This record gives sequence, C-alpha cells and structure tokens, in this order.
Amino acid sequence: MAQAFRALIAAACLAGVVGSSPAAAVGTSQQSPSWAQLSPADRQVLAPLASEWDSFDPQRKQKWIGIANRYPMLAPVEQQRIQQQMSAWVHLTPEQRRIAREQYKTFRQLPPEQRQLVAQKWREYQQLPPEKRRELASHGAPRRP
Amino acid sequence: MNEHETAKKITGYLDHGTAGLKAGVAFRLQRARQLALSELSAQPEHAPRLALAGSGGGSFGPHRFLAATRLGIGALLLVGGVLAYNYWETAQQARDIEETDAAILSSELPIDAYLDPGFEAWLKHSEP
Repeated sequence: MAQAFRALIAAACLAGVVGSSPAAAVGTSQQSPSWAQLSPADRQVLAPLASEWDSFDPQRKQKWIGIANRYPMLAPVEQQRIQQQMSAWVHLTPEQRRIAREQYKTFRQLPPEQRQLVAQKWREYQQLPPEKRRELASHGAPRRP
Repeated sequence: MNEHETAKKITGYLDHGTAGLKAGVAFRLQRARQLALSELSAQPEHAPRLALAGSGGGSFGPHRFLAATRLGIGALLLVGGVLAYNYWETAQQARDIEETDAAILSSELPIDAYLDPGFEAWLKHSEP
C-alpha cells in the first residue's frame, strides 16, 4: 500500500513537472517554423512580420499561423485591416496588448449601433486639434497597470 | 423440565432415528462430513494471505499483485488525465488569444483607439 502511495505521489509530481511546461511540448521545429519553412500562403498573409518572424517564440508563431489560417474567411476590408495593423501590434508591449484585449472585449459587447457610434466618435476625435487630444489624455482615466 | 433433561431427550430421539439409517445414506452423510471438514481446513490458508495484503506484509501473493496493478493503472490514468487537462487548458488559452487578436486587428476601430486614454475621456465627455 505504501508503494502504491509512492507511485501515486510520483505520478502527480510527474504530471506537474511535464504539465507545467507546455512550451516544451511545442518546442519542436515543426511547431516553430522559420520564415522559409512557412507555406507561401502564410508568408503572403504574414508578410508585414517577415523581418521579425525568426525571433518570435514558438507560441507566438503558432498564434500568427492561426491568424493566417483564419484570414481567408474574413471580408476583404477585414483582411486589409489585419495586414495594416500587424506590425504595430507586435511592437506593443505585453501590457499594452493586455489593455487592448480588455478594451476590445468591452467594445465587442456593445450593440452594433453603439459600436458604429464609437467608430464615428473615433473619427471625430481624430479631427480634434492635437493640444485638445493631449488635454483629454491628461484628464483621462489612467490605464490600469 | 430443565435444559439437561431436554438435551438428553433430543439426543435420544436422534440416536433412535440414526440407528435405522440405511448403509447408503450413512455413507453419503460421512462423505458430506469429510468434504465439509476438508474445506474448513483449507480456509486458514486464505485468511493470512488476505490479512497480509492489507497490512503491507512481506508476502507478494496474487491478491497483492492485483492490488498493485490496479493502483499502477490508476496512477497512470491520473497522470494521463492531468496532462490531458493541462494540454487542453493551454491550447484553449492560446485559441482565445488568437481569436481575440484576430478580431482586434480586423475590427472597425484601430489599435490606437483601444489604447488612447484621450479617446476614452472623449467618449465619456460626449456621453449624453
């Protein structure tokens, strides 16, 4: 019985060690393809990331390959937006990406007409003089860390 | 009538009844008795083995081997379950991030709109 308990404890430890490093499981070259190893279709979609691709970690590469796989299902205007913003997105800090994801989730929950209104407000905001936008930013709610 | 007298009377009736048994019946009764006794004498061999399986003794009988095998299979299933759950959870998180990022990048608002504190203040300012 004592042996059995030892086996159970060892099994749980093994599960913890192996399970806590999922990155190791996806660390093969197949999971972390170089830019040259990507399919021509993926290279075309991910072209804005070409110069930085080989420095990405395997998980980041897999995410972008996943986005490239979704790409053909998007409308042309959405495809254009993705390609335009891809490079800016990878240059954000992890904290900025986290904030953007949170803000987007709030935005997504709005009804369509309110989302259109927010988009309209963004266009109006862009027309404001830079000093007015700076003033709004200085009085705006500080971003959570 | 006390107990002793009652017992004496019962044994008297039994003796009287068995005295008239045929030879075949007496033989079958004798065989049944021998069989019962042989089974009774075999039981003590099982009893210590079962006791040892539970007490962690040094014996490694078939029962102990079976119990260890069952627990070994249980441990393997536990490890497999934990690994499968961990893998699924990690994959699910990765899918969520991929889906959200694709949606942000293709949404009608540019990335800056989600990050600009001035725009957030502007939205609150223009609320009716």
